[in-house]
Amino acid sequence: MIRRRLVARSILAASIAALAVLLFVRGKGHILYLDTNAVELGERRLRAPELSAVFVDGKDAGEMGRAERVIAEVAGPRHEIRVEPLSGEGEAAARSLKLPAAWTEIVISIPALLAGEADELVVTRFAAPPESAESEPNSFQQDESEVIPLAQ
Amino acid sequence: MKSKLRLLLIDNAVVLLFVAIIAVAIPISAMPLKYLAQEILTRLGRNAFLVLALLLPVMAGMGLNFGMVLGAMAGQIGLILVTDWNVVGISGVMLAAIISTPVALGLGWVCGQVLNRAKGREMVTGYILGFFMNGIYQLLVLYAMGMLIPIATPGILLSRGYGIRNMVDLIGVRQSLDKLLVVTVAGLKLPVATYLVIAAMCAFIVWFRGTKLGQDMRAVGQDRAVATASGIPVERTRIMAIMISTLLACYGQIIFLQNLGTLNTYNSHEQTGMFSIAALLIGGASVSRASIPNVIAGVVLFHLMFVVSPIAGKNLIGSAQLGEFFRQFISYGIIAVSLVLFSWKRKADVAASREALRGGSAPASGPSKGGRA
Repeated sequence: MIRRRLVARSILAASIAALAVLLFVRGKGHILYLDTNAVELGERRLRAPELSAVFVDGKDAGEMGRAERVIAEVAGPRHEIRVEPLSGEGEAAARSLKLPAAWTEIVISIPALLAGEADELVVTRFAAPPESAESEPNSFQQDESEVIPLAQ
Repeated sequence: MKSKLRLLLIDNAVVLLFVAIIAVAIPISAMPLKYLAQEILTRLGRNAFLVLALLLPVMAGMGLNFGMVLGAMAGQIGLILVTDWNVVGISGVMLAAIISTPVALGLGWVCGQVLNRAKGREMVTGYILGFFMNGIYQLLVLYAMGMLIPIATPGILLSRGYGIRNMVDLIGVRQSLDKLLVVTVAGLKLPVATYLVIAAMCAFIVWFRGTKLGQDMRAVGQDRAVATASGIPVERTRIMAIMISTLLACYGQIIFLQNLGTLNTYNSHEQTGMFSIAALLIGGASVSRASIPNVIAGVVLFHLMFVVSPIAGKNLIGSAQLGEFFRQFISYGIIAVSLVLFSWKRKADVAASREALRGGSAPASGPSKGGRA
């Protein structure tokens, strides 16, 4: 009797833990930085179209020029990103991307997505640029480079 | 007939007093009725669950559970963690509830153990226990979070690197339950999903009354000595009542805060017990008798007072602050008056019973009613 009760309680606890994990994965919010900066993959340099329209889960995230970042907020593990070049360069592309649950801020490389690169090259964890030791406190320096190398 | 009417008036004196005050205050405030109706519908969804959490301890004869702030603290811990993990929407609300459940049950168990050692003085003990636990909560939130418990979101941490900020923006879960299912009737937006949760809670309480544990609680509430003689584990039953109440208060606080969308880390829970108890008493409940209609009536009347009194005070005397003072005075005053009335009535009943035993007339108001939920 006691053993049966113990088993029942263990099953209940495991079910609740599984539900908690499911809720965490399904409800995890992500901040997507849709990024049209050019990327270098070894010898290749991938560039975004001059102008493109980006959609996240069918919702218009905005028109993007080159070397721009647009923020989109989503929840859950899988999202469809669709890019439609408006300047006549290349074909439209759509990709369903799986986002790691542990990452909150994620960079989505539009050039890598259009080039059909692997998910791990399209989806990278956002890392805030390290503060320069030379920069004055409260100063703002714009990064002029539009090339962000991606590790293969 | 006359004495029955008198008894009815005495039993419902608080409700009638508030209805009269509000009936006078609404025309003075000149607030549109549609606005008032919308406010009350919103506040009913926001507060009713918290007030429902008070019913079981009343049923178990433990009075009004001032220790419900412990549950509120547990709910807030769940919401802080969910905000840090950036789990949004209804998933965030449910995850906060799951995370805070063991915390609330643990705190409820501690509260029940303490109250079992303070039988007959449960309310004041629960009130002081709330202050004690507030210190532990502050230690956890102000020092452990960010230092021992990893907090990854810098936005909710104090600038020193540990401890939670005074205000936490619950933007991720804000009104996610309320907006899950909204129906508009005659221009009034009804948060149907929240109402369904409250209705489920009411159904649970009604069902619970008929269970073995529910019957045991009622028996303990009516007479502990008789319950003990009947073989009911009185102390365990009382602990169960407080644990369930604390857990429900935890869920109630999560519903309350997701509606507001902002967590005041160090203060949100402090007034939870006081305002919920005031609402229940204004609805016509007493220390030994509380029911679901008392909850609904109390929330409506108390929050009508909340909305109307500052504007009525401003229109009447030219100072909104006076209305605010009046509101505070009523909130705390009604608790004091109810406790005094309960004590007075209990003494009067005892005196009348003794008189009846000596061969005098029967008690006018009958014996004190046992817990009814």
